[in-house]
Amino acid sequence: MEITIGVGLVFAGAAIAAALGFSGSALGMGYAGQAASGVLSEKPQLFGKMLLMQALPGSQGIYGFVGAFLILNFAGILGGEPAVISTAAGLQFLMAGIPIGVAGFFSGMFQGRVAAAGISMIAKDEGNMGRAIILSVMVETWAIFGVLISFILLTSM
Amino acid sequence: MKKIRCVMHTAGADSVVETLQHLGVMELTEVTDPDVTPRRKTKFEIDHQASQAEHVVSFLSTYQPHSLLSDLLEQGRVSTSEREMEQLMQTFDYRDLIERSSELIEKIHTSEALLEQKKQEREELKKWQGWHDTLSSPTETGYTETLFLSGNKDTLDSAEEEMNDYPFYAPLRSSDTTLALVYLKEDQQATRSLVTSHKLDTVTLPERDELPEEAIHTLSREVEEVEKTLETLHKDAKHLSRHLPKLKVVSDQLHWRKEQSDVVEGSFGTEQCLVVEGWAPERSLETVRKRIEEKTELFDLYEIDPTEDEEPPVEIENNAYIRPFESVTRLYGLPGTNDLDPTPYFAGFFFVFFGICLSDVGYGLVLSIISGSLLFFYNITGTARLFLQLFMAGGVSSLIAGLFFGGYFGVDIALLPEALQRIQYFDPIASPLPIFYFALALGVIQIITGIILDIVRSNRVGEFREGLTDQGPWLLLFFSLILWGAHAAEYIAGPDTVYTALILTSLFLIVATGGRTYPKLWQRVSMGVVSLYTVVNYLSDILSYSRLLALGLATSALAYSVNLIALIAYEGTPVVGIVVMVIVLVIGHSFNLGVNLLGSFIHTARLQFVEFFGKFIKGTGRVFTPFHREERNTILKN
Repeated sequence: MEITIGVGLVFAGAAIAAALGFSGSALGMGYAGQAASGVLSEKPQLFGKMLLMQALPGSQGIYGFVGAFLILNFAGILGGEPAVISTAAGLQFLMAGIPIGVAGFFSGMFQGRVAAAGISMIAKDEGNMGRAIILSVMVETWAIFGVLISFILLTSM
Repeated sequence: MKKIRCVMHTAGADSVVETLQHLGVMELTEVTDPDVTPRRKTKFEIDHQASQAEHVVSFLSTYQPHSLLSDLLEQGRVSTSEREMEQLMQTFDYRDLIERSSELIEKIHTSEALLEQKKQEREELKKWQGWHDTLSSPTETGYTETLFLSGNKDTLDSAEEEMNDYPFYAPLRSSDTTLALVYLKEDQQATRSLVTSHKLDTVTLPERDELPEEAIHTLSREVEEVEKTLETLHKDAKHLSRHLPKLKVVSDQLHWRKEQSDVVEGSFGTEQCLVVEGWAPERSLETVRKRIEEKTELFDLYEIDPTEDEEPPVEIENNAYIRPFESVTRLYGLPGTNDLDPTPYFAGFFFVFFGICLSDVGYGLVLSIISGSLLFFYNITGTARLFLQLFMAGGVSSLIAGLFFGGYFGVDIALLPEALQRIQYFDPIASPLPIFYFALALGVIQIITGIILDIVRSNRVGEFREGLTDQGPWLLLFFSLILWGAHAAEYIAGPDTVYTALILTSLFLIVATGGRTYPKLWQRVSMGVVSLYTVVNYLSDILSYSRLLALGLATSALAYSVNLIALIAYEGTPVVGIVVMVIVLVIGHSFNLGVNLLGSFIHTARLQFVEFFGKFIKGTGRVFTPFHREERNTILKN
């Protein structure tokens, strides 16, 4: 694999997708985790449900991971045949990393906030679990579209 | 689930309640029969005995050796059978043992409190060692008074300085934090303000006829004596604790009798009759009646109508293969009364998805072996047992998936035998796209199943036509898209127009039925078009399944990294390189297994809850809590 600016840009694209996705999830799960700790100090029997609610904002990290992986794969750096990547091509890969990265970051963060609120809902009434999950997952829709657009950008090259 | 009322004569009441508890199939509720009133509670002795027994059990448990793992898995419970229990209750003199133990507990507590007190006194007096008078001498004389003050070093330093300036003060600094002051009575006001201005505390010394040093010695002797007494008491307790297994059995038996008497005493009734009401599954009623009849004929059990706003509790039941997956359903919450039990429907999906997420032959094997061993060697009950069975199954699934994905503790498959290389069908790192599409395809299958189940559910509540009109067009859309895709990939023949026509028909049907609840035509049409928006939801649902690819990749990537680090450690360390490598491998792979096990479980469960349950589960039910024998200290075998 020849090291060119293009390759650097591909790496940047993958890095953005991964790093922002992971950070979004970390923030989101952090919010949710704090709320969950509060609930568990009063009702330790809810641990399973709390763990599930905290795991919900983790999806963005996974999508970021998938995005980075697909970028590296489509560029031929990971698996596949490595080709010479021009600066222009590298730029395309960089752009492909942005939708999932940025969308993952913000949706992860806000999904965490909704999850935290949902955790309070569950603390008051365990039967609210389903509703809390659905409210939280609504935010994730945009991360999914981020993955979709990133994917479309990659396959359109 | 039926609402039941059981009326019994007071003579047969005990037998009836005992049988109900043993069968454990009936949940008790408030009595709504208008012709009866609450009875007064009279039995105190059984309550007292039961709580005393439990107290003794928890106390004596501290004297027995603990194994962390068996505590975690079995909670220190004793295995026994019904017959053994009965025999024990008749032959074992537990009353005397409980009495003796309770007395011992009292003595130990008193001694411990005494020990604390004496130690504190001794600590206090150590600060006053310099005082030159006996402790019991009066602090007041004709012209003077004595104050004992305490504070921190700095405040006392400045206070002492001030006192030294005044000739009629006689301060004696006993220690860094204590000071005794003798002053003239006429200086009382000034002294008080001095004390408060320096924020010092006044101390009252214990009344002893000795100098502080002597008192400290006496106290040390007394402390030794109490410690010796405590040692003997602890030895006695340890001796008594060898009866602990029997006591645990006794405690549970007494607890159950107490619960029975609670029901009898707390029930409603008349002078000669008792009434209890509750919920029980329909199929258990015959068994309940027969078993009670074996003991007494003085009862009647019949079904009644529930009140307006009463919701029956929910319980689910599945066969032994599906039951481990109930642990996942219970995590979410049981379905509502009118919903289907989702467990048998998602079990297969969960099994497959879990395997794909953890796809590794090595990890699957380790997981199955560990779960299996824990289940085999320890007596585990309840949801913990279900989870372990679930993981055992999950391990098998991971093993199968690992064969197809080429995951063997992250080892490069090129280094492994030919046969294994040929089995491998997917290569996650080299070509992730096929797995991506595979995961999405699985998602489509599960979503279609969910839609079909919604139609089944509506049929159950008698709204089959409604359900069909709601979901039918979407099903048609899915199938027509699949057919169109198959045609585009040239798997099936036929003119293009047929397939496009199918798609368009389904779209038309969706628009046509989407707004059918609205009165005006223009509303129906516009809301019908709006209902097409649900396509977005389905798209998002399908894409959500891409996490299966991601989780599988994560496991492989981490395993590969662990191996890489181990190799570097091996080559970098002289002499003990291989030891270091083994340590890195064990810790690294254990960590990877742990993290990915959690991730695989949570995300697979999440897929079921959000994308699958959401399609056909409309409510959450109240869990059925039957009146039963709570096995707090024992595990009953048959």
